[in-house]
Amino acid sequence: MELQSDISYRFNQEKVGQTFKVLFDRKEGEYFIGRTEFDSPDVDNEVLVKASDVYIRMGDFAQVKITHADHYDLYGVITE
Amino acid sequence: MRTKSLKNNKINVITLGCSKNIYDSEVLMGQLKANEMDVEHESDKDDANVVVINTCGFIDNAKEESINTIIEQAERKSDGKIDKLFVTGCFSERYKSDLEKEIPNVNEYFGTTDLPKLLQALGADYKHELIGERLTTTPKHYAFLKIAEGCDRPCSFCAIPLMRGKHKSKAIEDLVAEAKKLAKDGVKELILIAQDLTYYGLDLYKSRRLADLLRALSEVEGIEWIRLHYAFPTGFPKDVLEVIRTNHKVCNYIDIPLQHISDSVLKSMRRGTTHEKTDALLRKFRQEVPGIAIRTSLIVGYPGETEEDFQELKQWVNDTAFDRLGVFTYSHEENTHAYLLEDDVLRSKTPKGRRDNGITKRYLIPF
Repeated sequence: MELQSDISYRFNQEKVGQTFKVLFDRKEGEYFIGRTEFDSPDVDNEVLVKASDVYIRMGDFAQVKITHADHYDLYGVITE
Repeated sequence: MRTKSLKNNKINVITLGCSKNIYDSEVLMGQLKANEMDVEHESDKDDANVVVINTCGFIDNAKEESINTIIEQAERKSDGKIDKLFVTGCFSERYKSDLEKEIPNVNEYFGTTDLPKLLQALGADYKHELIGERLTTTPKHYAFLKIAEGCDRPCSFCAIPLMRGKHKSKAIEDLVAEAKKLAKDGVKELILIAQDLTYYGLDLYKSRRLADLLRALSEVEGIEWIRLHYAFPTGFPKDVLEVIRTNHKVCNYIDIPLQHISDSVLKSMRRGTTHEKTDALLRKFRQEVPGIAIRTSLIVGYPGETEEDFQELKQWVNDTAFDRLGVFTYSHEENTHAYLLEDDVLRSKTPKGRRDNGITKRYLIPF
């Protein structure tokens, strides 16, 4: 496994349990996909929220609590 | 060949390369729209009879993509599928005379400062009063904001100054006006771009004014996030860090291309910095803005890069732990300073990991 991939994984695990303000960019399959302030579009990490749980308009901000994370993506639930 | 009156022209703009090029296409399309022309971006409907390709000429892969796209569209023109084909942007600026000879079935090639001429060829007038007016191609809620053109840095490997000229900052009030228009159209996030963000203001105001610009932009109603891309390390204005920390609209994020860390490579690259200075700058970022996400990009396979240099880079990536990282392989570009050096690393049988891999979108670093 690549060096940076490990670093990214470690950072992402630290985010589990925390809540972030997320800007939603698009819907893809079963997920609404957004970003935190720490992520630029297209190149950085994304935050995925299950579309079956809530409805989010694209371009809206929401508070998301991170429930789990992989190397480059965070998964969470809307808290408000 | 189909013949259509000018009135029925439909123009498809194809953009290759970076966000700065996307921005230029958006300006072009804004002008065309203001001329009441029918314009679309990268449409796959094939219903346009005029195509404009905004090319990229930065590195090998990009140039290849530009050539392929021009050839593909030139063939469509030969087949009568489109009436007119125009090529603009960096690649066209850099290789105009070669392209005119090699791919002649293009109506006209334009450079990076030829927008009025390109518009004229498309049957439109350049409207000076439209400065800041664009037809954005990104999702409605974010947009790029190009705060300067060109670059005054002497980096040995970089062909950008050949294509984009000297650094030219846009005035703070013009950028605020542009941001207001964008916000009115629903943009919530501004992504500040330029060849070199750090230099902002030095040409126009005789001092670095990025912090002032950030403060001014953050007052624009509707803008909630402001993000910084392409901040050059040398001469980084430290007052920007205070704005990032204290202004809640400015994202705790910085994209700072560092390229390498070995002193000998940095020197040859003419980056104006050292390993020690770079580490000090990164420490300052993290001290002054706790939790800041740092993105960088690196070049591997630069001429003369030794195995030792590479190991130093690898160790440093491990120790620094960047939040985001992109790695590029060196591209040997004619008319750059580094072109005078022997392209020894990429031509030799270096370990695969060192020269393999192109642009790593998902920061898959070949270490």
